[in-house]
Amino acid sequence: MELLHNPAFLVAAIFAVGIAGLSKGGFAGAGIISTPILALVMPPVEAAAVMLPILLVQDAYSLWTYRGTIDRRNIMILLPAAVVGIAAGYFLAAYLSEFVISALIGLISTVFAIRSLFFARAELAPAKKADVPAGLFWGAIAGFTSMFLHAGGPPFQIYVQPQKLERDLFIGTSTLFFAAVNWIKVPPYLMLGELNLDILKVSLVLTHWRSSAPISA
Amino acid sequence: MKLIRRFSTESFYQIINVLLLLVGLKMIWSAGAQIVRFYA
Repeated sequence: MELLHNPAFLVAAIFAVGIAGLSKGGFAGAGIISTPILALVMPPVEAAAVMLPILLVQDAYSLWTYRGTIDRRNIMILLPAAVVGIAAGYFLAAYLSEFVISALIGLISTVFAIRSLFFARAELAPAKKADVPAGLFWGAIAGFTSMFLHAGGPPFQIYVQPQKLERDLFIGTSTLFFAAVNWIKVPPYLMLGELNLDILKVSLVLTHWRSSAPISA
Repeated sequence: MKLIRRFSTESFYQIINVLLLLVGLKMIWSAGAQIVRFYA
């Protein structure tokens, strides 16, 4: 609980939790900077462990809000693959270099975003269907990057966005997918010893702040 | 959530694409910073 008496941690935590709330409110992608903000004042793995219980609580709130707006086919394809990706992230973490994966996913995300923003004529391109092989690939990558880099959003977006789902359907599907992914990540975090009682106490206090100041609600 | 519902589906995708672009650049930046630290 020493962390809660550290002003630098408190400032970083307010920003991190608030931004995670914005992400859960529908601004997919914003949440990726939550853990790095917290990691400015504590070890990155510990920062991810502090954020995980907070994300689980925020997920519950988002799931209730977007209940009924879920694309089941995408979930059925992406989620089993994500489990494989999370397992790969857990077992291979020690053998992989973080900067190579980060650079690769960053490059793919940047190219996809630039293409979508400046070159793709959205109104002309037909909506793609939720393709199984591509879904299994991107689902596994999303699980892997969620476990390894705490950044599962970009692979999810790259796969689902070309399907041109309605706004709420996209957000609802993304919410359910990442809520499930976050729960699946709990056992590996416990096995790594990162989710200990001290971390949970800090998360609990931050979660209380979050519910007292609903930035994204 | 009230805020996001003010945007149309098309505007929503534009916003999340901008966020994805920022995320992508941030990941490349982080990777670059790690490489610099490694060789420093």
